[in-house]
Amino acid sequence: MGKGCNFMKGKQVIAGAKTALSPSGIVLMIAFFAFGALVRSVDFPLSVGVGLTLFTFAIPSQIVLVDELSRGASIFTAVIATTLTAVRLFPLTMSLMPTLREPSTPKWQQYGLSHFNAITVWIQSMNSLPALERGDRISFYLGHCCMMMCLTVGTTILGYYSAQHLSLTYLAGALMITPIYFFLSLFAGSKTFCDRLAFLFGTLFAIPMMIFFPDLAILGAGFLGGTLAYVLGRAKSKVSDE
Amino acid sequence: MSNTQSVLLIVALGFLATEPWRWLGVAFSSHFNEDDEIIKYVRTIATAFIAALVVRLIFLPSGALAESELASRLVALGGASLLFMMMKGRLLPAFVTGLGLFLLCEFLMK
Repeated sequence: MGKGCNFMKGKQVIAGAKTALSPSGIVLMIAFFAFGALVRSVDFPLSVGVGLTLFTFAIPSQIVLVDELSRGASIFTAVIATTLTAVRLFPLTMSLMPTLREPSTPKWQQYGLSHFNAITVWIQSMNSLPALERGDRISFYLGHCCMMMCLTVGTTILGYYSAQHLSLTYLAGALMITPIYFFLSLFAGSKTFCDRLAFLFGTLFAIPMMIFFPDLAILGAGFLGGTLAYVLGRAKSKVSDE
Repeated sequence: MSNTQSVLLIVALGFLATEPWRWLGVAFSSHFNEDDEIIKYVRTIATAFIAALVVRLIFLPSGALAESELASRLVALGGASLLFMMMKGRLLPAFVTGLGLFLLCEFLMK
């Protein structure tokens, strides 16, 4: 990607890279550590772990894929399960791009930039980017993402080699980091009325959806909860405008 | 199938199961800017998606986490959230507490 980025600003790249060492970055590193350990514990080679971290870079999808394949699921079932957990990348990317790109950013660069986008990067970007000049955002973002990727590849490897020394309980603890982190940082990032409702409805709707339509739980709860939150949020802002 | 081939296959599956959603996001975003209502709507859906994903990771986890007790997971998430609210959004202390509660519950129950 380097060639197209002759507009990169060193200072912003470094500022972005530094945010990779924020609490959220550290938490993500531990989550990839747990993923590395998972790969080892199901007897897959290290190359699968590192390859998936580099080319997928979406921790819940990686966990689901490795988990399904190791349980002997067919390739078809494994891919369906993985792709269902990855649907969220669509709204995440669709809402990130207008904040991230410049009017002159070519399409191919936008496709390249989107590879790094997943929950942690999205939350971090939505918190930091709007405060920056538009011309600084891509540099900051790339600095953040590249640093993140190096560190998470490192912890994937570390997790792989530590797995045999960890008991199941500690391994579970490392995997527990992902949901706690997503929950807290989403909570912190939900500043508008709409976002808070979406957070609440997504949580509440997921439980009945999981009981009745387990395969579509995330999709259904996300879509229904998000839609209801948006409609109510709009209604409230109209009332307060009048 | 050789070992190298299966590694390449798994990595390719991981890529193909996730990346097209990102591409689709880029493609659909092209005519909008960040203040458009449709983008706000999509952002709201993204938020609800993540919340729902957390609920599933807690109630229907996979891998080593599936071997833990549901009660430990709920106590950990609840404790971390409570502390997070009380400390006005400081991530790390809440986080460490959540993890500590999880391990504590696990050791007590096993």
